[in-house]
Amino acid sequence: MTMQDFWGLSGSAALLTAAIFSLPPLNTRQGAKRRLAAAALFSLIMLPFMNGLAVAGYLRGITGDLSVTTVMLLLLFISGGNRVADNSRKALLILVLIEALVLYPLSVGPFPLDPYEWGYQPRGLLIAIAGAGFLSSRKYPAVTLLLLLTLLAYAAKIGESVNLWDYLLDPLVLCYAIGALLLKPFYRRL
Amino acid sequence: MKLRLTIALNILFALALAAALYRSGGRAVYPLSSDDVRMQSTVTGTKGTSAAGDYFLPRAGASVHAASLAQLPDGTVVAVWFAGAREGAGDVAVYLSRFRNGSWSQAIQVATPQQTQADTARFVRKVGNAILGTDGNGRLHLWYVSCSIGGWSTAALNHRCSDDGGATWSKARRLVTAPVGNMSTLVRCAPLPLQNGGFGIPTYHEFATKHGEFLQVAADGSVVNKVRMPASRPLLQPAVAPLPQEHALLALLRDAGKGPGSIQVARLDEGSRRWRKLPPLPIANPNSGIALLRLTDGRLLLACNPLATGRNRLSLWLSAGDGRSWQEILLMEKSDTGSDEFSYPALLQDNQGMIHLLYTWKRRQIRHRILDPARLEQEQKS
Repeated sequence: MTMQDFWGLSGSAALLTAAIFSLPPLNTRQGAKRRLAAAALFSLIMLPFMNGLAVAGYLRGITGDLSVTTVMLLLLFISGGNRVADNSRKALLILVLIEALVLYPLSVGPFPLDPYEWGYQPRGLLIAIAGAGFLSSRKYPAVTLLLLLTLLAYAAKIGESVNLWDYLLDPLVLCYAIGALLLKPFYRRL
Repeated sequence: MKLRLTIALNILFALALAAALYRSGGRAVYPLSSDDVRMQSTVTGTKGTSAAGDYFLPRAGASVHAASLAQLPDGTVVAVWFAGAREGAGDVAVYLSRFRNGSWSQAIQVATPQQTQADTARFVRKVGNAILGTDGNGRLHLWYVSCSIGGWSTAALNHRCSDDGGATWSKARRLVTAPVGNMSTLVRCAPLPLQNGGFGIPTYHEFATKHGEFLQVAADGSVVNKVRMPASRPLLQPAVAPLPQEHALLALLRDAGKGPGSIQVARLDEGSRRWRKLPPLPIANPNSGIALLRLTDGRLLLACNPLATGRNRLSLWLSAGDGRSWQEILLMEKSDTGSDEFSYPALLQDNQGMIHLLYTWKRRQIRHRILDPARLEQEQKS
C-alpha cells in the first residue's frame, strides 16, 4: 500500500470511527478506554473486508480523500480530548469559511476564473497561509499548528493530490464549519 | 514560557512554509503554446501500417463506444474503447487492440472496475471514456474515467502506462483535478504530447456546469496545471490542435446547450495563460463528440456529425490551417434512420502519412477507415 493510499484510507476510517463514536453509548465514553476502543474500531475499518477492499475503501470511493484539516479535527474528536481552546477552534472554522468562500463559488460555478488552479502553483496561496499562520500564533496557536501540519503534509505529498487546496479544505469541513459557526447559534436562539 | 512556545511554534511554522515553498518551486508553470507540442506523425518508425481500407475492430461487448488511437514507435496503430452490456454497466471494460498487417488483434482488457478498485484502493462502480497517447520515449499512456457513485458527472481520471506497447500496464493511479470530492473531470479527445515528455490533455467538467478544460501533466504522469476554457453555454469534450504558424492552440468543442447547436471555438494564444472564446463555426453540432487533427502538411482535419439533431451523418472537413474556414470534403456515413449512430470519431495520421479514422458504428462496433491524404486533395479540388 502506498503512503497516499494509507492517508486516503485513514481519513475515511477516521470519519467512520468518529461517526460511530458520536452515537450512544460510545459518545459518553472518555479517557484511555475510549481511545483504545477507537483505535480498535479504526484498525478494523482499515482491514481488507469484501473483494480485498477495506470498509474505509468503500467510504473513500464516496467521500474522496479528506483534507488535513478534516482529519485532524476527526482525530481530536475520536481521542475525546478537548485540547483545543474554544477561541482557537472558532478561529480555525472562520479560516475554513474564508477559504471556502474563495475556492468553491468560483471553482464550481460557471466563471472564467478558477481559484482551484492556484493550488497547483501555490506561491500566492502560501503567502496567504504564511500571513494567517504567523498572525494566529500568539492568540490562536492551534490554528498555526494545524496550518503547519497542512504545509508539512503538502511538502511530503502525503496525499495523492498535488494541489494545496486539497490539503487545506474539503466539503466535509466546510459543512462542519457552517454548522458550528452559523447554524448552532441560530438553533440556540430558538 | 508562553512567549517561548510562540517563538518555537513560529520557527517550526516557518520551516514548514519553506518546505512547502521548496516543493512548489519545482512546479512553476509557464504558458503553453504550440511550440511545446511534439507534432503528430513525427514518431520515427520503420514499419508501414497499411493501405487505404475499411475495417471493424474486434467485437468486445453488446455495446461499444468512445474509441481513441495512438501509434507506437514501431508503427503499430493501437486503439482503446469501452465495451460491455450497455454504457455504464458494471461489466463495461476498456479494451485495447493493435492494428498490424491489415488486421486488428484480439481485444484485451486494459481497465475494469475491479482492477481500478484494487489499484486505487477505493470503491469503483464503472469505467468509461478512455484515451491513449505515446510519449517521446515510446511509452504508451492510458487515461480513463471511473465512477464510484452517481453518473458520469461524478467521474474522476485514472492513469496507467505501458513500456511494451500495451501488453503490460502499471497500476492505475488516480489524478486529483477537482475541488469537490475530485468529481467531474472526464476525457474524450486525444492528448497532445509535449516536448518536455508530458502531455496536454483536453478534459471537461459536467457537474453543475459544463465546460472544457486543459490539463497539463508531467512526464511522470503527475498533474502540473489545469486551466478552464471559456463557456457562454454548456460545452463538452474539447478537441485541441496546435497552430504552429500562430504559436497558438485551437480547441473545438461539442455544444451541449439547448436548441440548435454549432461547434464552439476557444483559443490559447502565445504567452497567454487564459483560453479565449472565439465565434462558433458555421457547422451544426447535435451535442455530439468531434475529433480534430493537425496534418503534417499543416492543414486541420475535423470529423463531426454536422446535423442539428441525430448522429446519423458523419463527415470529414478540412481547413487551410487557421481553423477559421472549413470545407466538407468527405461523407463517411449517412443513414436515413435517425436512430442510427455514427459518432465519437477519433483521428490519427500515422508515420507513413495515412489517416486513420475510428468511430462508433451504431453502438455495436467500432469502425476503422484508413484514408490516403491524396484522396483528401482530390476531394478538396472537386
